[in-house]
Formats: sequence, C-alpha cells, structure tokens
Amino acid sequence: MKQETISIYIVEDDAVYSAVLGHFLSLNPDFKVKKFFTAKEFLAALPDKPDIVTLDYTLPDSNGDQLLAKVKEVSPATKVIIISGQEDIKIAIDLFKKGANDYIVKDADTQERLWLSINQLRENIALKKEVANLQQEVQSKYNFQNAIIGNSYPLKSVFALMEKAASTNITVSITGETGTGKDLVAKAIHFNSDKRKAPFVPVNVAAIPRELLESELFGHEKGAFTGAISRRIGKFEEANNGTLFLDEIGEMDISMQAKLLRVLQEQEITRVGSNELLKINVRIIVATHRNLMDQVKKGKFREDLFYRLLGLPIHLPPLRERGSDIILIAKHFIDKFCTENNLGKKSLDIAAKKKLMLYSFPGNIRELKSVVELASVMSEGEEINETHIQLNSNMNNEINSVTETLTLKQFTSQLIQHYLDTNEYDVLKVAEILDVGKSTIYRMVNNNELKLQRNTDNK
Amino acid sequence: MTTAPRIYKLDRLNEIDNSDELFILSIVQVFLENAPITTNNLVLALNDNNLEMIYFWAHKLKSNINLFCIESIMTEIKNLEQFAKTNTNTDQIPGLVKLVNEVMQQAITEIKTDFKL
Repeated sequence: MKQETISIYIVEDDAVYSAVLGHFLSLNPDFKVKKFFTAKEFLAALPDKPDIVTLDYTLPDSNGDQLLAKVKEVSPATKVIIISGQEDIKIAIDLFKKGANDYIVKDADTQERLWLSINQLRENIALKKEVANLQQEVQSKYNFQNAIIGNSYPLKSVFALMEKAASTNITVSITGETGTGKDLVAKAIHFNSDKRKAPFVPVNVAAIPRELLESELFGHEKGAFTGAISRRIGKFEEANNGTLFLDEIGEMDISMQAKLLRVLQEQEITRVGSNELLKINVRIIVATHRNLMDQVKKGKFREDLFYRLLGLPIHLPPLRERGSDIILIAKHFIDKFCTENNLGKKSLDIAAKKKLMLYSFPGNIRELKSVVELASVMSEGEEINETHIQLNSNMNNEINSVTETLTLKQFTSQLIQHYLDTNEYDVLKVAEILDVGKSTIYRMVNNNELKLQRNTDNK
Repeated sequence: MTTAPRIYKLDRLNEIDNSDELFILSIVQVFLENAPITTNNLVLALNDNNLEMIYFWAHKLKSNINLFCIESIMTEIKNLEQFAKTNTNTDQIPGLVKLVNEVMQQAITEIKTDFKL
C-alpha cells in the first residue's frame, strides 16, 4: 500500500513539550505536523480537517473535553489522541465514550506510546483513504459514459433508459445479442443507483448446473443434501440491500422459475433444508440474449414470471446498428490492449476502419475486441491496416468484401446501402447512425446510387 | 560539556532523537524562554493564594521537569499539583512552591552555562 501523507495537529500550550512532540513526529517524513498553542488558533484551522489531532487536556482557554466535542462536530473523521499530564481513569473513560481514539499520560514513555498510537491510527486512515479512492474509481469506471462507449443514436436512448433505471428500484430486463455488454449495463445501473454501496451480485444462470441453482440462489443449511457439509448463504442473501443480476435468465429451468416467482412476490427466501423465512430487500436486474416472449409462447418460460421480470426493458442494439461507435470502441480496445502489453501507440488507417465498419460483427463487442487485439499484435508499426484485421466469420455479410478497385464514391454508396438494408430503409435513422445529412441520402437515391428497397443485384 | 554533577539530565531528550545536537539545542532554547515564565507564574499564583492557578502552573511545569529529568523535585511537583487540585495539605503548598522555584532557578542557570546561552 502506498504510504499517504498524514496531517497531524499538535495542540499543546507548553512550548517545550510542543517542540519535543513536533520534532519527534516530524522524524517521519510522511507526517505533516502543525503546532497550535491555544484552542482558539486550533479551532480556526480545524476546518482543514487534519487526519490526527493530539490534544493537551489542559489548555488555558479550553479543555480537552470541549475541544474533543468540537472536533467531532467539525471533522468527525479526524482521530483524536488526548495527552494529559495526569492519569485519571474517570476522565479517560469519559473521553473514550465521547469518541477519543487514545488517552496518553505525559510521562517517561509518552513518545513511544504516541508513536504506536499514531501508527495504528495511520493504518486505519490509510485504509479508509484507500476505500474512498476505490469507491471513487468504481464510481467513475461505471459512470454511464465510461462504462459504455459510443455516441450513436441507438445508444443515446439506452443511456436515457439507464438513467431512469438508476434513479428508481424498478426491476430491469436487459435484452440484446451476445456480446453487446448486458453485464456492463447492469453494473453501471447498480453503481449509479442509491444501492451503490451495497453489493452487486452477478449470477450466470446458464453456468450453474440446474440441480445446484436453488441452493446457489437461496443458500442451504448444513446437511440439506449430500455434500452440504456446512451452512451456506445464497446469492439473494449476499445481495441483500443491493442488486442481484441474473444473467441468461432465459436458461432457467421451468420448475426453478416457479420458485423464483414466489421469492419475488413474497420478498422472502427459505434456505434449502430450512423452514425459516428470511426477509430480503434486493433489486433485480435480469438479462437474456433470447426473446423471452417467444420462450413464453413456446412454453419454456412462465408468462407470470415474464411480466414480473419485464419491469423496465432495455434493449441493447447490436454493434452493426451502432455505426461509427464501432471505430470509437475499436480505438478504446486498441489503446487499452497496447498500454497493457507495452506495444506503443497504434491507430487504425482508413482502409482498416472501412473494413471494420462494413463487417456485421455477429459476436458484437466481444468479437470486435478480439479482432482489434489480434490486429494490434499483427501490426508491426504504429498503424493497423486492413491486412491486420482478420475477420473470423463468413456469416451472411452482404458487403464484407472490400475490393481494391472501389472508388470512395462507390464505397460510400455501398456503406449507406448496407445500413439502409439493415435498418428497414429508414433514411432518418441511417442518416443519424452514419452522421450524414438525410438530403445526401435522398440525393443519392435520386441519382440511382442507392435503392430504398431490397435490391438483389446489390452484392 | 561538564563533568560537575548537574541537577538536570539530558537522557530523555537524547533518547528521542539519538542525541541529535540541533534538536537538543532547539528544545533547550524553548525551555529557557518558557520555564522561567512558568516558574514565575507558579510563584505569583501562590502569592495570590489561587489554588486553581497553582495547580495549572504546577501541572505545566511537571512535563518540563520530567523532560529535563530534574529528579530532585519530581515527587514534589506531583504532590504540589495534587494538593492544589484537591485542596488538601494546603499547609505544605508554600514550602513546595519555594523548593520547586529554587531548584528550577538552579536548573535554568546550569543549562544556560552548559549551553553558553
């Protein structure tokens, strides 16, 4: 752990003793020491919130009791060590009750005791500072714009829904193809909600064998089944007062669905092998790559549970519908990968960008990440060109072959045509996605460079 | 410095920072600035017959006496502090103040001489 600077105020009216303490504490270069001779001077500087205060109990213009109360009022996090010329158990106990962290008597080993005391408090302070830093880091990491990169039109509506989700406790159901970042959205909602300080507990329903899912979710008592050698709390209990994220909810076994429904309705759980009902307060976020309504129609998903879980639906658009976001995300992954692997700074050249923009990314962001990471490894210099971009899929991708002979004009019309084909010929939407004027598209349609219906010749 | 027996010792100050001379000198200077005043205040409080202030100054002087290991009055300063605080054995207080004052004056003179200040 990095040693942080600790600010220490010495409040002591005896100049000799103050000089001794001040010198002694300054021996540690991490301690920033300030001396105060009167309560008045000290109170004027207290709003700067020092980490530690050593308070002489007897001061001409106040006493330790009053000053301690003042410190707790103005700067509750400040640790207070009372230094007293007299050993008085009653006073000491009283001061501890009022929040003093230590009580040291001025005698032969005051310095040693003070040193020990400060070092103990310092660990505590360092941990608290670290926790605060981490919380801030998590907060900024899951800030919506940092968690999910992009500024395309479809994504803006996702951000708007996420903000609504974060400001309430409504159940959220996230849908989207595999690799679109459903788990990131769930985390970002949690860390921007008022439950951010409570746990975020993710469970991938598809990854847990069906016979173990019940005990995984609700916990079990010792001996509830073969192998239950001790009591274990389940994910619902773990997530109490926080958020439980049930990923791949569409894969849940139908009998388990009934149990989940009951828990959501009653807001209480029973551990496997127990009769005791436990009240829980958990925000639920579910995600699936399936169309749950279809699953309901096929009888694979309970309709009542479907409506219970639907809550605020958020659909994540596939990458191919997010236009220039592809390049933004590619840049992000390239920068991150190159920094982590000391590859220097690399960037995509025009042809490489084109190649990425024209590909359909069936594996979405996860696929884009692996494609650009491989490209970063393959490229020798600072530039990543199209030969470095190795697309692994030959899935139906109408214009994924960029031939050398295309002119810029031909390329542009192919690109726009591709987006028109995949967006139900919605000119306004395509103009928004590709950031071109809608009049440009209409002009190209008039010039027969684009078609507003499926053209089987356009290959 | 000196080989003659002294009423004070620098043992405790030496312990604090491995006999760092600059540190000792700085503390000695602060002591010489403040201890005469504190001692004088103690005498004035006795003249005023103000037990509360006798306690206050005795209390303040105690840590100085401890730091400079002025052993001959260590017990006396504690008693003085205690008697003044609890309003007991008040008949002993004037004698204790007198003794403390004398020893403090001697210590101050010795320290001034030893440090050529």
